[in-house]
Amino acid sequence: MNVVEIHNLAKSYRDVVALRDVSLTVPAGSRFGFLGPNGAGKSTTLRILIGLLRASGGSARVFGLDAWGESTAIRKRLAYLSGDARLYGGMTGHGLLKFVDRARGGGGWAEASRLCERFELAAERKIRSYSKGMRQKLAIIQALMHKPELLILDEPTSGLDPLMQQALYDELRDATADGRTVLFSSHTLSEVEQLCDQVAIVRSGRIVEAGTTESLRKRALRRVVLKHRNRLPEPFSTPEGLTVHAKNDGAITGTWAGPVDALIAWLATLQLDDVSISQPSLEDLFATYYREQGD
Amino acid sequence: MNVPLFLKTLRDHRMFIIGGCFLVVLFVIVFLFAIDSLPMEQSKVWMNVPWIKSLISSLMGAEMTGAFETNGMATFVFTHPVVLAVVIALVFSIGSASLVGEIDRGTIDLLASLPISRSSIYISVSTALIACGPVLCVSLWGGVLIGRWLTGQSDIRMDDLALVAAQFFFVYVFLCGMALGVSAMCSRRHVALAICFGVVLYAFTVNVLSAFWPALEIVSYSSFFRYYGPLKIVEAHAVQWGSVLVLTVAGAVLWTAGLLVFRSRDIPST
Repeated sequence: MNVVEIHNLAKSYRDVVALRDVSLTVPAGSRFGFLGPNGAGKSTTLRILIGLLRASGGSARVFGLDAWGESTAIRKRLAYLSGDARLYGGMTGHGLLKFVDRARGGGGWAEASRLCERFELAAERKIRSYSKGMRQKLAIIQALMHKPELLILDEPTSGLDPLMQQALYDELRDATADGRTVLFSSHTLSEVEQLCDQVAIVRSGRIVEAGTTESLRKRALRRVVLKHRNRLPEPFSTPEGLTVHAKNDGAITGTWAGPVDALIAWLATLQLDDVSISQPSLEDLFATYYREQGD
Repeated sequence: MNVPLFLKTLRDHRMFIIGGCFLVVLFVIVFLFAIDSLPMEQSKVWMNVPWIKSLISSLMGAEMTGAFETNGMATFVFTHPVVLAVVIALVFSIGSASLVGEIDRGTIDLLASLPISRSSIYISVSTALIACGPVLCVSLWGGVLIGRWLTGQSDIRMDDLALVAAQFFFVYVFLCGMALGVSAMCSRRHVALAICFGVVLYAFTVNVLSAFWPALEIVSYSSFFRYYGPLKIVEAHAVQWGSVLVLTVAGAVLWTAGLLVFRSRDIPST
């Protein structure tokens, strides 16, 4: 069963096209990563799902309900956390959590208290005195406290230190273990790889890839930077899996697709001063996808 | 209506509401002391200056001739620019902070992610704002009552002034309708405030100018001040129901337009 179903979704603001023909489904109980650079259309998609924006075309359904027309019913079952959480500065953390609890009909206070301890939040202070990280923790707690069936989190780890990021990942894993669903947007590939089991990659308002994180990983894309001891011989042949993005003098930057042992075997034949093999940046990843799609 | 949001709106603005009421009461008392200490003959000389006479008449809704005694002067407090400024600032401040202010600050994302419909958000905020009206009107009337007691001006007729306070509430209702309607349509708070204050400035200017320039009489019907004449109420010992109807309908139209727009508009991220 799919919790979220989006078909040919489009959104324009006057002359600006924010989304075009986006289709994706989020299965129940999954941790779904929505990956893309800033301005790709991730937040627009999520805001359409919770009824903050009205789609210009296509359809968006959550729990089988129309995201615009039945948004109040949908919001009873989901929680949303915006990327840069803005909270009421004049309230205390406790005050905000109480307000959210009452507005949701109560029953979340015990969980809120547990989460405050878990995230080490001093909730009795005024929110305006909070650091960005503390505000983010409070926003996360208000989103998690009612154990919603669907959690929509827009770049929720911004401002969190690594320990708190791990605490959040653990909470999200626990949530999906309970059968709940997490839709998680990020512009960091490693974060999505670490947490999510499903992923969709969006760029310039279009989905460029969707599937399981495992299938993404199987593509074994790696960023390769190597520095040859001498000037590169001409012609310089490269193995089939290597896509060269930049080449000057003795240095080559590119992406490797395929088993790493083949790459290492090829590198062993070269006279190198330096080499680094790392996860690709999103741009490298997109370059690969666009090349494959002939875009 | 969502009760937690209604209470939150009142709580968020409680200091402003209490401060506004305190300021109104204080000003009214000081004003009554000023009337008490002013020689009546001097006042009559001033009132014979044509432009002062016209200005006061435009604010009071009728010419202060026979009614020019302590009761008439006390009535003037209900239309005094200082009192109007406090009330208008309070209405626009709460009205704009609650809708467009939420969008401008980005806190609407939290509010709109809760299971509260947009209509319910709008109605809860509106109810909180309207609920402040009787408190303000009673403060205004209560200020006169306290001032009357302190100055010993027993010829101030509190029953007539209660009717003026009642009609003043409908001016307040109109202002609420406008503030909420404009607030629901804008995405930037300063734009909403500029529009609201622009309308008040227009209404005030047209109302005053029409007293000096009869050709503007017809245009003055577009000013909400036209439908609030405290002196007419005191003279007739009755609320001007026609004016009440105009103010209520105009406020309701603006409020409804705001509701319809707020229900269907995009809420942008900040």
